[in-house]
Amino acid sequence: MKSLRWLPPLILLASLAINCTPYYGGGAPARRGSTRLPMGSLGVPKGPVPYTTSGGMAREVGLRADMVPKGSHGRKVVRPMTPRYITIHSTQNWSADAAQHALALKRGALRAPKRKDGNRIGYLIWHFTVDDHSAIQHMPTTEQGEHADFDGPGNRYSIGIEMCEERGSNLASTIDRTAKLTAILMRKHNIPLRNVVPHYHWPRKGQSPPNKNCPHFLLDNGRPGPKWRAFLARVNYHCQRLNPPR
Amino acid sequence: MHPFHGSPGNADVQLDPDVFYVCQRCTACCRWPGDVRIEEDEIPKIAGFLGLTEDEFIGQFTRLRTNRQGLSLIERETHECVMLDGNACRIHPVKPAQCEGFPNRWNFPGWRDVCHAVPVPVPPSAG
Repeated sequence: MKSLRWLPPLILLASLAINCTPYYGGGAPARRGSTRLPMGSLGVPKGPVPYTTSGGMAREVGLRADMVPKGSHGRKVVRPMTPRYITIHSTQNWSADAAQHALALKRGALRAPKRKDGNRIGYLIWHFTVDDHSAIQHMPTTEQGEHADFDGPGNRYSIGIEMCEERGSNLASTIDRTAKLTAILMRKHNIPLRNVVPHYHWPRKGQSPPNKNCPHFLLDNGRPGPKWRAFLARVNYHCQRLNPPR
Repeated sequence: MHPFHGSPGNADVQLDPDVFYVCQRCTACCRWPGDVRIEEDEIPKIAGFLGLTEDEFIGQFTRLRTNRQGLSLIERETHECVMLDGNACRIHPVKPAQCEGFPNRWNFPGWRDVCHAVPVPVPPSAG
């Protein structure tokens, strides 16, 4: 039975990319640099849209699985989910990349006080973490995470993607990989662009303010605005890349 | 004015402890614009009653609430509840607590002008 725990991630990866091998440096080479967001990085390339498959895009993203074992920590209780939304977060952690977040989740290091109308399981957990050179899956997209709004619809119905903000990382590359991963997941789960939302979208009961300024570098004055719309345009661009040429 | 008047979020609140309004099934509240809140534990009951899976029920009959803190039944363009079938509720035996609580546990400004519920005095010893 022990070996079966790897079945869900393997099935997901197989569905995303036939012949997809673990890959860490896909797409445009990540340049180490400032974590400040260059606004130009949110633009959409002009000209013909180059077609690729979901598997090809997964290789560009550098997608791999490093799951929190079922039955442990954030996956101690498995709550099934049919994903209807994709929620975009940023870690606000200046010292860790995706691999380090994967390690922390597997060790159960990301705790949160479990309380009524608050965190349901005593841990934080989400589905994917993206940095400037890779994306790591931590749990199946058919299970609920604990990343958005406690007992609310953000946790019950959305896939959580965290963007890393490690000091010195290439934030533009992280954002583009996130947009690609989002496009892959939209295609896989038939999720429309209007259901791609920032964490801000989901109010948290009992918190002040209820709507978190997250992901802060894609919001304007703490709210979705031009930067968020530019991010959605980039997601849409990558969605179009997944349409086979006529 | 009662401090809880018009608040749909207070399911445990009795608006007027001296009066109980008996519903006459006029369906006026089913035609009022706004959210019809569905709580998580109500989903299996309603889905089962309709012969649907929970996923099918959520996909076909619900949307996010205006405050994005949960699900609501879809409303038609006329603002009628999607479950209103003529002058009857399709899911009456398992209808949401919000519906069951109208108008005694919540209502909206002006409800008395449209609701046909009959006020019945509650004896002092009751409740």
